[in-house]
Amino acid sequence: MTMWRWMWYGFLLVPLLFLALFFLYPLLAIFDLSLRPDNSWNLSGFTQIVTSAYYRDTLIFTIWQAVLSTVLTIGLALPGAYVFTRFDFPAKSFLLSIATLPFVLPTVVVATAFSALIGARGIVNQVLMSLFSLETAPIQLERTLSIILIVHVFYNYSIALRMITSYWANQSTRIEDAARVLGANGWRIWWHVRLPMLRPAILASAILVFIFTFTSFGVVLILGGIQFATLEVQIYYQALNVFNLPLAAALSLLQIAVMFAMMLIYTRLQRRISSVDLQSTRQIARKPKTPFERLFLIVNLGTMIVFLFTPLLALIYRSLVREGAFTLEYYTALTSNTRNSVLFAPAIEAIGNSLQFAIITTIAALLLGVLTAYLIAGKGINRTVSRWLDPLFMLPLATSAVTLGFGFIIALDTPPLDLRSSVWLIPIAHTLVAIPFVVRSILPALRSIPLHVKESAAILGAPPHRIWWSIDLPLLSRGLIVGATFAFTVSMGEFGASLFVARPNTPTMPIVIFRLLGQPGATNYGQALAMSSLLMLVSAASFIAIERIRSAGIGEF
Amino acid sequence: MLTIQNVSFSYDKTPVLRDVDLNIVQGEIMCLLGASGSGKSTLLRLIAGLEGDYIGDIHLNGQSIKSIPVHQRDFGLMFQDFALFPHLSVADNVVFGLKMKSLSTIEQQSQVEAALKLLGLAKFSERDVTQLSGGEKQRVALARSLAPQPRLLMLDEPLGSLDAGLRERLMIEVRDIIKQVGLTAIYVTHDQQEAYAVADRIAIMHDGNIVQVDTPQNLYQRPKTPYIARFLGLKNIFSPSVFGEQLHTDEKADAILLHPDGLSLSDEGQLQGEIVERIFRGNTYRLSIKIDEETLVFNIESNQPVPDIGSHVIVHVEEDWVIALNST
Repeated sequence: MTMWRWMWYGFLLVPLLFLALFFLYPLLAIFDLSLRPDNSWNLSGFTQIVTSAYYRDTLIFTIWQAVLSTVLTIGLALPGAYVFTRFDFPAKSFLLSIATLPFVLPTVVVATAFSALIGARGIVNQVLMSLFSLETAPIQLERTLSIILIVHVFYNYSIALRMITSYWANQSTRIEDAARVLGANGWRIWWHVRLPMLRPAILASAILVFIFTFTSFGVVLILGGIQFATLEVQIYYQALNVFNLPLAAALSLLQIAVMFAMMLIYTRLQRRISSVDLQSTRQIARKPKTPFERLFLIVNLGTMIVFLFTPLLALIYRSLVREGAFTLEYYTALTSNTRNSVLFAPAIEAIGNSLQFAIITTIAALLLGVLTAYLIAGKGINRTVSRWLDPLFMLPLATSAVTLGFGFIIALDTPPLDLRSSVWLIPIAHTLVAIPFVVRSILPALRSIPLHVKESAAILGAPPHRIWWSIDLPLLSRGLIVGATFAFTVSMGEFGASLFVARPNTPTMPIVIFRLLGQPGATNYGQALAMSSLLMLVSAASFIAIERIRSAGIGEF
Repeated sequence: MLTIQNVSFSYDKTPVLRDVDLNIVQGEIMCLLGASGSGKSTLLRLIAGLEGDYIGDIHLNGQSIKSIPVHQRDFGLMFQDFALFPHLSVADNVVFGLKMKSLSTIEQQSQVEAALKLLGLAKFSERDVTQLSGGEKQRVALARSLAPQPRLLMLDEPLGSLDAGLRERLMIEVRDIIKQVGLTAIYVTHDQQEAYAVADRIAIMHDGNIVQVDTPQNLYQRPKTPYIARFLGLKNIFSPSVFGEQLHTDEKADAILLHPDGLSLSDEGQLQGEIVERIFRGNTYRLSIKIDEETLVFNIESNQPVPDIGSHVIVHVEEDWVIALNST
């Protein structure tokens, strides 16, 4: 009995060890490299950032685009949230869940999709050019701030929409009725009642959007180019193109500091949101009555649907149509190994690589995630320790992908941990990012298993492993499936970290798409479209699976 | 003061109010008493202006208020869940209505202070409303409705979410405060004890109709329909033919009520039966007496000898307390 218990405790230490080795250690390596390059205290990296107008501009641009993206996203999500909380309309819950689709789409896919829609070679330009017989594309959005902002809104709209909607739906409309009886109307209700009451949800979603867009990598790299480098892109250039590792480390440290501050504010707000005194959750939605309400509803939903689906449809259309004719040419090209190809192997092999990595990631993340969840929710664990463990395991999610990958290449390069050329780096990196998803998916269910149920089972004669098998497992199963699907999807789409640690001959699908996009020629572009379409279908299928399995109670994001 | 004339209202084509007529006099507290779903809260929302599109009319001091939007009616409305603004302090909740009236800061302050003082909330003024107890929230909600000095105060189950002990204490307090300020009030409740304690007059609502308007005592002693009698918890409702011979009841009535207040055990009486149940309830015993096929239920004081179960007894019925009930 006691031996089993000690073994169990030993198991629980595995995720801690994993986190220490592959997350905290690389992070420390970044700290070390930025503060003590050449093994002596030297802040040249930071002085370079502060004194050079170029790097200052990078920082200012990073903040500026994040602020703009946040303001635009919240500005669009607010009326959307109003529509979803106040009105009843057909397919409402379906629309709300489908709006979350971008959340699981890989950045590379989304960037390709927007390029297929409004890029120089995109559908809109093709149509305009043939309609007005133009020589050049009339819409030049690629390599502009606008397209970066558009894609950022695409990504984050649903996060803000969901957060604000779920908060809003819990507020009784009687509070507004009370304000009306007390003499408030129109804008006064918005200004004195609605907006102040939504403030925690608006602030929390704004900070989350800011965090996501501040560390935006794939979108800015592919659609913006070097003249629009964010900190994240700059770290990538400094580390992999210029090989100025101390500077890259200094930039990483700067970014980590900003992210840490933001996360701190975010978790505080989260606590405020969940502790707010919720009024009765009476159904407050109703059918739109006035013509103005109907118009408002239609314009909102119409914009949302067009904005969500046209890029994705454009991607599939462009991958299947060449010069007006249907073709599978781009897809078949994926299997051939053309001589001038930038890849060392047929593109199709990347699909195999990605699938292998994703399966390994899923298994590893499930095992480690379950152990982590027991570690956090465990009854043998001190409560204060558990309170620290929870955010500790969330950290990899809050750390940018590029920081993660960069940490890997500078930390895991000396024996006994020389993994630079190891295939395992990719699934390890993916597992780090996937564990928080698994933990979040099963933790609520794990916490809700009443102790008395397990005690009853024990009194009825069930040994510990039987209790786990017949009580814990069935109750956790839905969460486990959701977590596994998340882990698989995250691994398939991960781009930033993979770019650092992938070996040239075992690229993943996002990396192949990125390489193809960087090459001239319609066939390379077409292959990128085809590969993106495939990756999008995998992500969308996972998304549907998650949405179907996930019931109201599962997952606490 | 407030006249409701032939008001009908449907919600999604389901009729909720049918031809409601009611007249409320200046300075009185009118209780709308009824089961849930009887339309009492809807009637309140209609008067407040929170629901529109009704048939009929509502007049305030002779003027129709149909076209006046909610925020210009100068009414007060207190909700069951209090609907306090969770982002504002106690004082800021109370001052809200005064701000909307664009009163000067000095006037706002003095009126808020007066309202808080009236409800014993002076020391709570800077508190966060989310941290108050149920009873304290109730006071803040009442203070917020009173502060702008409304022409009419409406209270929708104002004690509904509080526990029984607190409710009993607060119902008297609410009545005292309304009377002290001298307001006209409409008070919605489903609890008859609360209505008896608070109201000057009670309007019983049933299925979207007002079926009887009377003082609490009259209502209890002289209910008009079988539904009202049952709703008020009165037993002993029979078809008029049952005791027709013994009591000479009005055969044309739909039903008769042998009001428990007019029943007693006696040596002489009109009815004879057997005690089948005897429940001790402190100062009274509740007796069930089987007479032929029917059962009569009433209380007798417990400080006198009470016959055992199975005893044969004679029941005396005072003729004043035999009440004819008619369904319409």
